[in-house]
Amino acid sequence: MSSEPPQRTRQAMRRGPGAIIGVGIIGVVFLAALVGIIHTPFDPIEINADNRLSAPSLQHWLGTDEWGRDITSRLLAGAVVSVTIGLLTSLLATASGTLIGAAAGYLGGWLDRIVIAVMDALLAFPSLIMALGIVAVFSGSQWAVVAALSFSYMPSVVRVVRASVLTIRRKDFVDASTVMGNSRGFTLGRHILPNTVGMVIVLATSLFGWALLAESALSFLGLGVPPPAPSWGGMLADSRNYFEEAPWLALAPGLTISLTLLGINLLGDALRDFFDPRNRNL
Amino acid sequence: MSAPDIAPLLDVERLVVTISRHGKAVHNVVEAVSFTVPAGGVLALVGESGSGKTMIGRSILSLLPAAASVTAGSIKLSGQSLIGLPPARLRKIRGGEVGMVFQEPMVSLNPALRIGVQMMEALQLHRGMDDKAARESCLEMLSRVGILDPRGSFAAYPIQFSGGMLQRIMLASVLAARPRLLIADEPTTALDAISRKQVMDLMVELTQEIGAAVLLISHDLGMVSQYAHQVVMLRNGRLIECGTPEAILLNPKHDYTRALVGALPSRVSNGVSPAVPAGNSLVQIHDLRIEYRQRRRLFSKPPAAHQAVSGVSMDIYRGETLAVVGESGSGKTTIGRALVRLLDTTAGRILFDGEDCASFNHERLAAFRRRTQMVFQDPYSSLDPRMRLGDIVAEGLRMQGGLSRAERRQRAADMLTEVSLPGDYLERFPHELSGGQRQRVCIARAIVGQPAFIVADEPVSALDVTVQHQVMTLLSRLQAKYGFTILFISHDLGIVEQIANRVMVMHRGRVMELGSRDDIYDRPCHPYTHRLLAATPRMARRAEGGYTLITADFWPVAPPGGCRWFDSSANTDAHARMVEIENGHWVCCTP
Repeated sequence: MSSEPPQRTRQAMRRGPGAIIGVGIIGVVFLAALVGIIHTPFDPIEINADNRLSAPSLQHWLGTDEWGRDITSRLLAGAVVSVTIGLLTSLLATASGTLIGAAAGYLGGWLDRIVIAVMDALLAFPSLIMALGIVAVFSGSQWAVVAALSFSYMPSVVRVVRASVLTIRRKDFVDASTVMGNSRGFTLGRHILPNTVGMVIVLATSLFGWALLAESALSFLGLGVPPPAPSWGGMLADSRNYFEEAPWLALAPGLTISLTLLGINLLGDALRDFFDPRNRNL
Repeated sequence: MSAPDIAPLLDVERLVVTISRHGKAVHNVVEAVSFTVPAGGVLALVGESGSGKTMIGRSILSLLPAAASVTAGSIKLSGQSLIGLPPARLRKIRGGEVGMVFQEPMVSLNPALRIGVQMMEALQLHRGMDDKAARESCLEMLSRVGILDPRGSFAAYPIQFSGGMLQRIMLASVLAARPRLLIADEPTTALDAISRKQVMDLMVELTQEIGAAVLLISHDLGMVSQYAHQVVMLRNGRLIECGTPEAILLNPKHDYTRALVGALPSRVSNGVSPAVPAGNSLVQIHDLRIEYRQRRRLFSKPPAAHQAVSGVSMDIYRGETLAVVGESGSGKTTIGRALVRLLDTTAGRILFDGEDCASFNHERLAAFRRRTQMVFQDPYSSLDPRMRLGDIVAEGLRMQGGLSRAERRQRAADMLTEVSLPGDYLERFPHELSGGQRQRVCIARAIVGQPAFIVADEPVSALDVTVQHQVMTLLSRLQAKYGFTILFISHDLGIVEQIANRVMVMHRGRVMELGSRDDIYDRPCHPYTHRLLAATPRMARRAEGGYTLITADFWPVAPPGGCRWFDSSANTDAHARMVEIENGHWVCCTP
């Protein structure tokens, strides 16, 4: 048993460099967020009018923005905001969606019909529009953004989890569990939910990515994290007026967001493979 | 039967099919196999899974999967090599000169196209017919294969037909192009006994009519023996024996063939007297009715309920094996699931050990669950893929109470040994096991808590013949040791004959006949039982060694007292009742 993790890691590497790259990128992002909490080279918020739009230099590695703030510092501080929003949103949406979807799919009957009707109604709104509406009403903080995004992504999680529970609950091992005398709750927790894990993880990681993008979009529309607090989306949004004079303003947060999304997707695939018993002991 | 003596139509010589991965040859799935099929002859390739029989069939039409390729040998159709043909020439041969029928009729027809469109396609392509001629020819062929309403069927979609009907339609559309060779890959494996026989009879008759030869690919030596002129036995890609079916059954030369022939269902004494130990019932069923009701939709009439089980009464005696046989849709699985309370009953009573199952409270139900278990048909879906085998088996003890985790582990380990799986399998996952091994785990899980009653729903129908035999032997051995009662659900009368003390024949939700094994097999009364027996090839061991094929040729005899036999077409007759014609032998009839 003790030799298992290294063996599995070796297998992960043999399947291709994707997993390693994914873990690497996400590791760097989380590290940046940690650094951003403890220390940034310059104050990410204080305005410095003498230093507006300076190009990347030894002092300001990625240049400064229109208020003379150091881009590197703002990216690090923004990492805290973006990672918090992405992580919390994907956790909240996945947890609530899995709970509701699994209950609806497994218990069926009127509960299922009501849940599905409500979720379909919610899905009819584009999630960004719904988030916009919620943020507009409860504006003012990143927590509002997290709540709004979680709520608008939850219906998709419900649908996916419910569909997969519907397939799994028709398998004979679920009947076998009933015949053994196991309660419905035990069957759900022991046999059905674990078999949705691979799919839920992929979904959760892509939600992280969507939340990151949506936060950028909300900031772009001025409804995200309120200024002057830095966020990657907000930085990208602010850069659009200076694209010709200072392209680094757009490039730095834009590339950061793209790379993070790539890392998240690679990590999701790797996690799915890792949790699939079919990839063990081979 | 002897093969017509003509020059070979299909000549396969020293064929080698190799699987390669990343451009490197991994292993040969077919190893230097040679055989010939004469024009109009029927040759059967027989083997278990992994024997390479399907690969040979597919290589003839260059339908091999991407990883496999023919690396040596030759395949000739009327002297012309079929290997490396240009695509245009190959397309002419596929469907035109060589037709192919697959195992799953449900997936070999396109569900989005009407039957007629799919049938006419081949005729227009290969025989250059215009719409009208093709249509006429198809309609003629459909009525020829016994489709009652050819015109209606022509415009229908595949989903509107049963598996047996679809396989007939497949045959009609493949044979309408008048091929010279028909490759039939397990054409009846997905069908139940009666449609299996009908489709096979039809296939042989039609191919004789148009003079086509048949390459029959099957795992079922018994079935094949009735139709083939020549049998080629394959194992692990090698030809191990070939000859006429009579010769192979009578005097198998190779060890493996002998094992396979020995594993064929045949009457064996199972040590338990078929006499009925009356008065000691474990389960009593009174007038059981089970209906399936579709969900009522808004603004529509309530849909009619489908009666899956209508008015079944019977007793299951302690320690016996009662087999329930019947076609698909006969309600046999429904009864089994109702007995372990996976389904709710609509009316009637089920008494388990004298207690009415409907009156169970939470506690009584838990006690009931400890004493009843089920073994499922599909070993690939009955084990949780995320759990290790040790945990799977130990879970069967979870509700027994009074056992520590370690004790449960230990009992699970003992049980795995008992079903002849190595001890280190405790830590394995289901996907690492073969179908037969998985079914052993299912049996271990079911009996680890020492239940009194087990419902086994087609427990071996997904397995190879030799593996079937092993699993059945295991089940009998465990029953002798632990003394549980089995309700054995099966469509395969050959297997039932080996294990059952009593047999119940069901048809469309009703019991047709119920009696001891010998009553049913030697003195069957109901016409439906006769049809079932006639559709099942069975083997009889000969005193001088080897086996011969029994083809049942009984005719119903009227029971004392006389009654009009309950005809299967008039099955909804409400006056039907069970009559005891001799001790413990019940037959359904109308007064």
